[in-house]
Amino acid sequence: MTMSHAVARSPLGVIWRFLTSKVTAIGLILTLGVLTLLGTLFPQLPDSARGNSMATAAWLDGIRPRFGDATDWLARMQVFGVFHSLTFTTTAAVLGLSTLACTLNRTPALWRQVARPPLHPSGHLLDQIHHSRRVVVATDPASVTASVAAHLRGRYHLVTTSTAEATDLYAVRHRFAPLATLVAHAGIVLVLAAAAVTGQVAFRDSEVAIVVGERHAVGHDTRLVIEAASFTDSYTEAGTPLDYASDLKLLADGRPVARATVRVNEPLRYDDIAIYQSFYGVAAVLQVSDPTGTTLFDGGVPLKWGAEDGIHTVGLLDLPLPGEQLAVVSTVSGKRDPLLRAGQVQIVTYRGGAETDRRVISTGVATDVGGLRVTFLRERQFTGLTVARDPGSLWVWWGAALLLVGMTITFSMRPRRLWVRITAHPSGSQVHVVTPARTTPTDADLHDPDSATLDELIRALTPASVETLPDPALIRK
Amino acid sequence: MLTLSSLAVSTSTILVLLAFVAALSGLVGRRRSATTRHTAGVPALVLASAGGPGQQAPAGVLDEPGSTDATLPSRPTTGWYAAALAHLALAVLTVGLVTRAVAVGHGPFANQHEFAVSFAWGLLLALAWTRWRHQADGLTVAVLPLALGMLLYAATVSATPNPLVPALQHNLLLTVHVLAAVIAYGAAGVACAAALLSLGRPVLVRLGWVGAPAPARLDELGYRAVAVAFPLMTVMLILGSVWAERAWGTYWSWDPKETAALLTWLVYGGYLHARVVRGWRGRRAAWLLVVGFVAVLFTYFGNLFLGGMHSYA
Ligand code: HEM
Repeated sequence: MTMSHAVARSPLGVIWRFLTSKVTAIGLILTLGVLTLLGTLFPQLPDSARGNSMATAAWLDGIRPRFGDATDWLARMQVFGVFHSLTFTTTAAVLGLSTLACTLNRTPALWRQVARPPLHPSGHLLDQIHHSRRVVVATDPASVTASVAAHLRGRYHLVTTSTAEATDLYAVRHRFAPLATLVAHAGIVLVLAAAAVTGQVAFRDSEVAIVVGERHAVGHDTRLVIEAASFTDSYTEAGTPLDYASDLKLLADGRPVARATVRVNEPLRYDDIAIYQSFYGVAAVLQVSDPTGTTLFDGGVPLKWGAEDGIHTVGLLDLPLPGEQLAVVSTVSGKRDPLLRAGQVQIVTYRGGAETDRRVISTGVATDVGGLRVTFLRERQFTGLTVARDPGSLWVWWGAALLLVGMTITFSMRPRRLWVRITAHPSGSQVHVVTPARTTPTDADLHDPDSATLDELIRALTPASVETLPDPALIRK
Repeated sequence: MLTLSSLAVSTSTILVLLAFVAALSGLVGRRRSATTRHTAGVPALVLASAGGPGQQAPAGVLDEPGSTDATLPSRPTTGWYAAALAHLALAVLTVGLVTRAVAVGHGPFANQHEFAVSFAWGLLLALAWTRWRHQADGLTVAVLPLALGMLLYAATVSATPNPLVPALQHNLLLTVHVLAAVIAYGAAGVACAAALLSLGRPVLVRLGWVGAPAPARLDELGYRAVAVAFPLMTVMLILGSVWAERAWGTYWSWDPKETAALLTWLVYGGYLHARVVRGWRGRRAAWLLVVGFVAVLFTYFGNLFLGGMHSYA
């Protein structure tokens, strides 16, 4: 694309030149590489803690022993959240824009090259030409032209032009392949754009725990409710999980709309919502009432948090009273705590974030804790799900497919071009064939299909040849 | 079956070692007869001074596709033995991997031992491919130590097969995803070998390596290996995301291994643009290939120290 001087110097022109500069592309790709390296070398704040200042502070305290005084400084530099940092997202965004600009910038030239190929090797093409052969053949130019064309036809697309002195043949194979890099680069733009869209409109709840037999509203304006009908798990003798699966019912406005067994690798999809099996565990089924006997809660509390001691699991329940919370503590199966026997759980009550009471209670015994009457009925399994909506993902797949197709064509179907000039000669005709070589002369034994075709063509002509001429200066037009 | 498999792996390790010794001994004093090779440079001049191919070509071959390939030296050289041993090692290792896959009931890519053996297999496969496609004997000596290193490492880690954790129980995706990785990393190893030879060439020549491939040729070989590796890495990344989307509910989660693979991909992307768009050749391009392979190793060994969701491997 040519730009007038005025345009080139305008701010837009400067931006455009920056985006289409080849140095920019390499610089951006390598910058992204360096940022990615940082992100693999330093621990990254888990998704669950992002945006939660208390969880973030706790996580930072956990890594403080490793990084010492530098911890807070590194955190301010966003080293522990590289992939969500402004630097990273900006670099990725500029790379997307640059790729788009490059693609647009190259389209006209690539299209010209494909649609109106240089019928005579000239200009910069000559710089690439290393292979050239000349022979003199004892037949007239017209029949030589016919036999050369016959030799190439089928495999090559041929364009013949004639003047009084010479006939020129331009032969090309995979002539549309140069356009494939446009497809590949468009694929990258699409992937990056789709990933950006995902960040705006998608949701992903990765800690949805539903006690077997209970329901959970998906929320996010979906009117969907998930019911966990049952849960099954199996283990190896060594105790590692082999398989776990939940039988889920999905209801929209109370009507069942889907039912499936969900396991790792087999999500349930409905509209643009997907439900994945993610984790599982044990829930404590409780009844909680206030001093007047009004039931505040009747159901299972998933014990989905592991305590730092590795022995206890914890579940949290928000009560329908302002600021009132209740925690249920139990022991992990297979672990022992002398203060918490089988069939017992500990209940801790909070008001406004401050602990008000704690008490160990036994199965079936209604006990007063912090002014509440709590009964622990039994244990029951819960299933842990991830519920996600990601309209961007479809476009990511399309982009990935374009990238792959474009790249495969680019690397496996290089365009192959051959120019043949046939002129009259006292002994018959002179045939001159040139091709831009991919390899340098010292690589002569590296397979180069262009020079191989050229040799093949010369050999096909040689029965009638009278002499093979030394390599001349290349034909110029 | 498992015994047969580990026997094959050990045999292959010994074969690779022998091949490497043969390649090393071929380094010094290997003389290539100029007349047995297609003379590089200006074929037309050579043909003309030799009286032209017309006088020599029998009429019957005229329509056959031409071959300008080098003719083999009449007596096998140490380089030939090295390559033959390397091919044998590849065949034996293939048997080892297939029997292991049959024995454990899934692709041999589920723990560190299996992946190291597969990596060595990828290197040997890429080496064989490069030799077949480009008659590139000179690379053998630099690729074999990489394969040997992998096999020796595999021998030091536990070979006990693990049952697949639920996330890995998607056989087709797992197989194709890892197969793409293994071949891509093998080809990246070949590219790195070409780069190392190119960087170390002056020293090697001074030490007496007669048949050292020309730098331009090593450069081209490195590029062609990346032209295989890069699309395969892309396949690996895409299938990895497809799989992550099914198993974890998100196509990209910045898991450390996933991220390291992206980093590797970016380095090769940088290399391709530097070479194709900016015309980088020689030492600068070679250094990028070395950095790329360091990134490959970092990705591969990364789960040993990076943790994350791939840490079962
Ligand atoms: C992560 C981002 C990118 C990827 C993965 C990518 C991928 C590729 C690939 C695979 C090739 C073919 C290389 C070859 O033929 O050996 C290529 C060529 C090229 N790329 Fe990119 N590219 C990216 C971004 C960019 C950007 C931002 C620019 C613009 C400055 C750009 C400009 C070019 C040009 C000019 C060529 C060579 C010309 C051609 O073959 O048509 N690329 N790219």
